[in-house]
Amino acid sequence: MERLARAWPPVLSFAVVLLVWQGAVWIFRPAPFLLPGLDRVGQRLVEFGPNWPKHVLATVESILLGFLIAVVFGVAGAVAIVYSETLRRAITPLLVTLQIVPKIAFAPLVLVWFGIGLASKVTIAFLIAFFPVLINTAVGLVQVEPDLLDLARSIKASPTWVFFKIRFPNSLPYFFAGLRVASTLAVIGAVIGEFVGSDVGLGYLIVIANNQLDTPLGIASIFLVSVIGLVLYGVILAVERLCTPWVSAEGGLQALI
Amino acid sequence: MRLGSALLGVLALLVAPLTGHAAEKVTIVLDFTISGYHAPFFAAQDKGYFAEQGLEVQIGRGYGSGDTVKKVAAGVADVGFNHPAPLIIANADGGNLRTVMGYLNQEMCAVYSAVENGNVRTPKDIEGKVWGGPPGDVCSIMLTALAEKAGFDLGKVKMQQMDAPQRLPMLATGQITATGSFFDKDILFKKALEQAGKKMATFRYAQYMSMYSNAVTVAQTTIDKRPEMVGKVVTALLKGFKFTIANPAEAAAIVSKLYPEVDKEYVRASVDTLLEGMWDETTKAKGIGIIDAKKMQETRDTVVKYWKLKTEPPLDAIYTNRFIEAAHKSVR
Amino acid sequence: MGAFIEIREVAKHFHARAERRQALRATSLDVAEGEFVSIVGPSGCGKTTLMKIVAGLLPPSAGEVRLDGVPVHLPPDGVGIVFQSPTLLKWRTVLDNVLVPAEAAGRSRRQYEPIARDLIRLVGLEGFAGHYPRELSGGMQQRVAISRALLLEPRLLLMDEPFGALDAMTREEMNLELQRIWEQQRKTVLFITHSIDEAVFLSDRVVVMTLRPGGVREILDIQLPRPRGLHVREHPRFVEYVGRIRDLIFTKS
Repeated sequence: MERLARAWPPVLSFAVVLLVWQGAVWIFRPAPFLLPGLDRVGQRLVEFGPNWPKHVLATVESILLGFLIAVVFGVAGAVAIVYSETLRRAITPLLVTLQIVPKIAFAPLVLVWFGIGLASKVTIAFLIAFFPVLINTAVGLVQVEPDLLDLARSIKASPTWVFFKIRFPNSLPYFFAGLRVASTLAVIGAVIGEFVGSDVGLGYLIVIANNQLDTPLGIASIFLVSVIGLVLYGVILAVERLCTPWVSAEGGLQALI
Repeated sequence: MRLGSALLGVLALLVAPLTGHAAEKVTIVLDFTISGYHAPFFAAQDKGYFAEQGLEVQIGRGYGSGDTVKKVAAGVADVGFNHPAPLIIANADGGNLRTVMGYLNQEMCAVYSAVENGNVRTPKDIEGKVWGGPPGDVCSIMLTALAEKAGFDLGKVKMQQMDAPQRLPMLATGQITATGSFFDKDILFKKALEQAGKKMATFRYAQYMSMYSNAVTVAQTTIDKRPEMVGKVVTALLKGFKFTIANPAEAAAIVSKLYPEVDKEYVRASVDTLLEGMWDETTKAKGIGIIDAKKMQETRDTVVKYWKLKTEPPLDAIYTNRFIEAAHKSVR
Repeated sequence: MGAFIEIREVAKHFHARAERRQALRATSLDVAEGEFVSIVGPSGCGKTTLMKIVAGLLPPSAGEVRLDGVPVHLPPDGVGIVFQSPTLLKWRTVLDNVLVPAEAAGRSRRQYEPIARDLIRLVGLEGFAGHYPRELSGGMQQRVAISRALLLEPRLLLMDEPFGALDAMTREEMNLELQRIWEQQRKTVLFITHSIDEAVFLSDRVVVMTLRPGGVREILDIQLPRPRGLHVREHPRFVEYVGRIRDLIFTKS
């Protein structure tokens, strides 16, 4: 019962948005290629039916691969820079610069280097999603109370023990926050990869739809991209709750995004 | 009486600002990135042809003809410059837009390939190639029409979708072996291939098919509410055309000054493209920008067929010669 | 036979930005086994530095510390530490937190679990063994920290302002609790605090450190009977000690 009570505000805001949209369509009667009504979008969504799986799966594939590779490299990178002073000093300025450079601008170049296909899309998704994972994980590994580290030294804990029993669990909330950000970025990266060069996928459909004034198809594709993003985010959130039960739901990093 | 009207003209120009006559603002959106074939627009602006009629014009680049059509339909742009296909598609879907002046009156697409890997000189050569192009791009979709009219099997062509600017590097590196684009880009393809040590092979769709290409678009509601403005824009563009025809190098320089980041050689060469593409039998006989009903009908039917439209928009709602004919009368 | 803790002319300076900062001036102190000694003084007088040197966490720049005759270089065995913040592992239960020293030392959990439970009971947290730190108040968390420090039966307990973060009332309550726990086990305790009251209440001796001049100003012997109850703070001798210490700290010699 309490679950329902907490669910209604967001449901209500979605409903309001949809109502305003449909209301605008009824009142202003814009051409369907400018602003299609919900009915037209729904119609197109159904009409396109058998073609969706191919494109949805292609986009999901790019997102998941890009995301997973970003996580693996991000964590590895974070551990490396936390434990190697030289490495940290060597690559931190480089990382900061790369973080600021809009990776999206590299999309056309990636396409020329990697050719059309999964490799480009995954690379772009990875490039964009990588940094939040790296930085958040690094911060989480490092942000241990100095007193706690003193305590570890006084009880003569081995560095391995300190890593696995102190730094690693401590970093989990930060790590998951990084994952959540990275998941949304991986979605963006994959779609942009499809904008720039692909013959399949929801991003590709959006471009086709725009060029052919098939706005209902474009909006339906955007809707599906959002669903994919939400599902991924939700899965990560669920895993996070499972892995970090000590972080209360109201407070903590989960509350921020 | 000449001196008298000249004096009156000077007086009017002096008085006009004093009467607080604010210039009418007009937004023009082009089709895509800046090319020398846009020269008439910029020449008209630079030489004051808009201003002398009391128009304050803002000209912006486009993001694809489809996008331009949407902007005109939504009222974000007063005037658009775009390919007829999205206009016809829009009109088939409840839109009410009109071409008010012909501009590029030949089919503008050309096929490009490298001599070293592809060497596409006739449509039949396209078979077996890897074709790269933006999804929904005019030249890629028209390939179906070309296949029918010139007689080759489109099934034997591998289609690769990519963003428009990618075509150049992809062709140069051989990742695609043929592509299509408006032929103003001849020089850009040639240079890109040269960088990879290759030579360019090309031929034009116009050898095999005839239809209208990019033209000036206005929403019907704008025609109803601001007919004088539309007339003034067309008049100024006509003068811009005449200037460009007489002074192509200077017209190119005007564009390059505004957009120094665009390859200057390309700008100059694409002005020549305009001087070629603007002419067809109708315009030669009747005047710059005049649209022929039969050719527009063919254009409409081609779009309906190859873009698989469900309804056929009425022909007389797609274009009008009213403004360009009036312009010819006032511009001697 | 030397004292249990022998601190001989221990000093510490740091180099920060090409400057030499004196954190601790040459200090000497003897502490007997089973003694409760407080070190009280203003911020910057070097008391925490001294404690860390005794704990083996910081090497001295000069002088030496001996624990039961053995010089201290690295953290020695048999020392339990409690910090100002409880430094509990948020993801572990109270019991698992208390067991941390055993776990890090590779000792068997089965052997130490009953000891941990006893300690949890000792500090008054019976029934909370399965709770998480976020479910406990600040005072309760510090009690867990104290149990943790006592797990491996240390001979020396070092406490660096353990009640500094608590409110005044909880602090007084914890003082009584600490006394009670200490009465049970009679470890040697080196207790650092800002609070003159607290130092006098808890200790056998109070070491007064000042900034100007730096270092140990005086060591007071606290002659108050044990156990000390709620109202000992009103005892005239208590008030006298507190007054004396206040003078020492606030007036320059």
